[in-house]
Amino acid sequence: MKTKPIAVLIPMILTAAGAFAADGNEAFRFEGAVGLGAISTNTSSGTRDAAKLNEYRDLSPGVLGNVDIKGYGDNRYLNLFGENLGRDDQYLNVKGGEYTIYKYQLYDNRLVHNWTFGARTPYAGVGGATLTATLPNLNANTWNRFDYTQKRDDIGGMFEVSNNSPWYFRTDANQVTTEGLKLISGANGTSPGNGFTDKPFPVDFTTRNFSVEGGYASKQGQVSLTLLHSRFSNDNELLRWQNAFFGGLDTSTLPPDSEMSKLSLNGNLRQLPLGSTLAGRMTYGKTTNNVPILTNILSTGGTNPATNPDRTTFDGNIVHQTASLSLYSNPTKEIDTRVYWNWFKKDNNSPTVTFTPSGTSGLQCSNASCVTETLSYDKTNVGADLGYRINPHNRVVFGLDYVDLNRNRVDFDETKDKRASVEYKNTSFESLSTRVKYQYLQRRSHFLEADAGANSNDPEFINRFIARFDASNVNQNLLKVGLDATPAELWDASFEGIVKHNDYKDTVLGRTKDTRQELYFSVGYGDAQKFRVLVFADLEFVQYDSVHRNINGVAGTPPVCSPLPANAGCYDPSTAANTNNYNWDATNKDRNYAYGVGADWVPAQRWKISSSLLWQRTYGTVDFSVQPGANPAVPAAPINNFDNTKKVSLNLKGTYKQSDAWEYTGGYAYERFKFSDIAYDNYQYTIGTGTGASYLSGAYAFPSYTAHSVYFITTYKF
Amino acid sequence: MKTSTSSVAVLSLGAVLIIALAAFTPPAGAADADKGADASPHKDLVLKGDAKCTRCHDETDDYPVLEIAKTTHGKAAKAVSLTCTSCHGESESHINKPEGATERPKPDRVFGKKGARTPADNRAQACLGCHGGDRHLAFWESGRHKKNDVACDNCHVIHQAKNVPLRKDNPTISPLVTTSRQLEYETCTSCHKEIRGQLLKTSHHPIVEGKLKCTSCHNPHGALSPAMVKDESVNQLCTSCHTDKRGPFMQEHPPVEESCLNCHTPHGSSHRQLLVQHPPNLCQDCHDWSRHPGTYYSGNQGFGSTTSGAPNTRLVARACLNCHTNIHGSNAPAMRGKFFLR
Repeated sequence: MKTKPIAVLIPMILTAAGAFAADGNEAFRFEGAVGLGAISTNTSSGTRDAAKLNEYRDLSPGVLGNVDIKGYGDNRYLNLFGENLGRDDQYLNVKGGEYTIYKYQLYDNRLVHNWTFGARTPYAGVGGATLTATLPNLNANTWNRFDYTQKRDDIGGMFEVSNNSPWYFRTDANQVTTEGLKLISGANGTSPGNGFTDKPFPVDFTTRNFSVEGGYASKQGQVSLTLLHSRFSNDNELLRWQNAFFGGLDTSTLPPDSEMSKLSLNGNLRQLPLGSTLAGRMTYGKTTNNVPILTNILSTGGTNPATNPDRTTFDGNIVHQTASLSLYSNPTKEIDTRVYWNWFKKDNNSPTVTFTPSGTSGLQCSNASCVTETLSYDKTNVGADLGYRINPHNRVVFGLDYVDLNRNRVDFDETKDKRASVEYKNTSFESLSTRVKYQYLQRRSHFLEADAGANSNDPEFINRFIARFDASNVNQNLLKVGLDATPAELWDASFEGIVKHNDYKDTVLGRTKDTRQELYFSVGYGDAQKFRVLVFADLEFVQYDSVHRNINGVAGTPPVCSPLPANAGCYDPSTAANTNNYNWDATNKDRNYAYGVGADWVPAQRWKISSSLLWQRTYGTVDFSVQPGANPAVPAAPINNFDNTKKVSLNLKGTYKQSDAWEYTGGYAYERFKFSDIAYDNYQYTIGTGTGASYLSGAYAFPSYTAHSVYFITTYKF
Repeated sequence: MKTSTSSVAVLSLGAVLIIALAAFTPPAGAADADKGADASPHKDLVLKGDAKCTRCHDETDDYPVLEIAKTTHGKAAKAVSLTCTSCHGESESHINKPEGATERPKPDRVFGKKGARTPADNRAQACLGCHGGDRHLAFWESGRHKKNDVACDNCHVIHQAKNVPLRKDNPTISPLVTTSRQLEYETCTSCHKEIRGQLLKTSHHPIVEGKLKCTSCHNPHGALSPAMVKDESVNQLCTSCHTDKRGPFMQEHPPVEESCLNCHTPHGSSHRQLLVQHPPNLCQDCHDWSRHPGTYYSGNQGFGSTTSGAPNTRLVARACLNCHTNIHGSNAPAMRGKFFLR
């Protein structure tokens, strides 16, 4: 599999090169470089899992090879670039063509994504579609090991011909194959408290995309029509696994096959009156699939009760339609305007499926039968920008934007966003440029659950108070300030500050406020051709405030307040607190700091030295407070390690140019990553005992590492 | 495994070396043409018609003006009739300094990121004169870069020979990457500093590693979509790569269907899987109900805690996702699908 792209590409290049060489009418020249070297990476003994180190990189000890060849004549060109040859992150790209006549590209881009090395599972059959085990098995030392990792290989190409005319035709095709293991989990029982199980599922995904495009493009106007077809296929759409709680073979659903087709029409008209350009786009896309519906599934007592769906196949069918228009005008030297309209519609034409499992199946939803929910929505957006150049060095831009969104969601069916902004840019001083932007957003949504629930003992009653932050009413203020200065020869400095505050003004339960503050500083000195140093500091503070209600004084299905009167009004946040029912709030703060310094130095004609040092820290906390009168069994202790990380990265790299033909590069890199999080510190592979035990895999649990890498590359240039 | 990949690398290099060696000796005509150009300072040096400029601006200039010969523009110059004045203007007063002038006037168009350069619109026009018909620029006027006085030369360098003709003014500051390519993000983040901060975070797309580019998602040359994303909506953009998430699913999670950005932040996060907030808090900001959705999971419920009920399965590991695993959508039946459990 790995040799395939090279086996295809190298003969093509040789053929192409031969064709050029055979052309006696054109002086076709090649120049370029070929590099060969090696890399060695060692992790310290305290590194338990080096997956994070290698998350998107292949730093494993071995050969490093790269190639960069450019061939060109008066009319034609052929470029070949390749790096990390034969490694998991190999990249190959070939581009060529004849100027203004045609062009082509072939590429192979491999990507590795490592999450966890040496993860554990009590199951046999890892990599297959059925996982078997004798459970309970709480001795994780006896479990099987697997690497939670996937490799993605994107091979594709394109060909475009215009033959020196405004008309063009283009076709693109690529295939993305993804292989490896990912993690799926899931509650073991029908309700919380019966454990969960991590399971590796096989990733054998293939996506094939093919598109054709034709059009006319000139300075006066353009129009293009594109047809894209994309097919996603998964070799395993179901995963069977031994369920420790129910005691039988359970089933999890994996990503379904699908096909997507999209037709796009793009165009513009330039040189209209008032210096105007009209641009537009229309698209129509359909995504479909056919998924057999599971007519039974493992449940209580190891039985496989009927799910009783009202159809046997789910015929997925989603249509996306969009249209956009934008009119830009520049009627005078001082004024420019843009008005725009965007329309988006998602029609989910998939059938609603109703399941009516029996009352003893353990498969019922809270309202007995289960009816699937799909979302359709349409969004209309209009807006306008007005730019006014007060003088050549002062410019102000006013913006207005309006969005009307309609959806078939149970809590909010309509949302209207009104946004106003003003930006000012000043370049009066040659050595100083400043920018300020203020934006105000008001979002108002139509809430459907103001009368939910018959009374405050009814579980539906709480929905009167829950306003989900993605759609709830909000007032947002955003301020951005930017400054770029060149105070002296070779010196430059910049600053950017951002403050964004969301006030979810009508929210009783849910996120009530969030604030983001960001500060970015950088100072540079020097000439990049000789010596250049850059220092930066990035600081980010984010805070989320939220209010919630703990409701435990309930019984039955659905869970009504019980016993009464002690728990009366348990679903009403205005009810006085007791041990079972009370409000609580959380303040979650995330802090992120990054400081970097880097320098490029050319100490002598043949030498170039690059170095950088990066220090990063993240620090998350949660503070809780509980409604007076509550006396919770587990006191609300603050969390002081919510994704706390520290990372240091040092890079040193030197290049010596022995001659025009030979160049030597060597480098050393040091990285240290430390991770602390309440969800993973003091990690255990199992929680609980007996049939109610949870089985964990170790995924994400041990990402801390310390690593040293050295590498060298000898490059031959011609 | 490694033996196999090393062999592939060596074989590839061997093949490539064959091509290189075959092409090593340039055609005699090409070498002669170079010599001819060097013979007289008043003759064209690298582009047809450049003598007008290169009689003064030659290899002794601080800025490598003649290097344009090695760029795509230089190589294509003959085919598309390109020379210095095509971009810089005829610049008569610069070439023939007016009598009495104390300083030589600047060329008609002056490019570069800093200093007293020509206004952005005028600089952009120099490029649009030829590239105005490029369909990649179909929405240039609708994009934010034009609105914010960004011209082509803010990002692109014209005179330097590079695989990617993008400006890079500063040293690279990042963890070790094994790519030798100039990475696009370094150009973009020289202005978009808040994005630089995010790309370096613990959880990120492989942009710093060179496997994705800013232009994988955005069209810096203008787009009709907000944030100049290349697709019509955020979700269509995300699922163009994450095709396993595009469904259709029997059970949808409404905020997922409306925008991936409700839960994820694309440029970088302190939290794994690019989540905007650490679960269970992220989930609890929308979900409240009797028993576990409305219960707090606090600092004494992690692994190793001696508090009753610890460790709590709704806090440790993947928190809510330990049970509600198919949160992007599920095709499982009945309540197993309704609650994204299977």
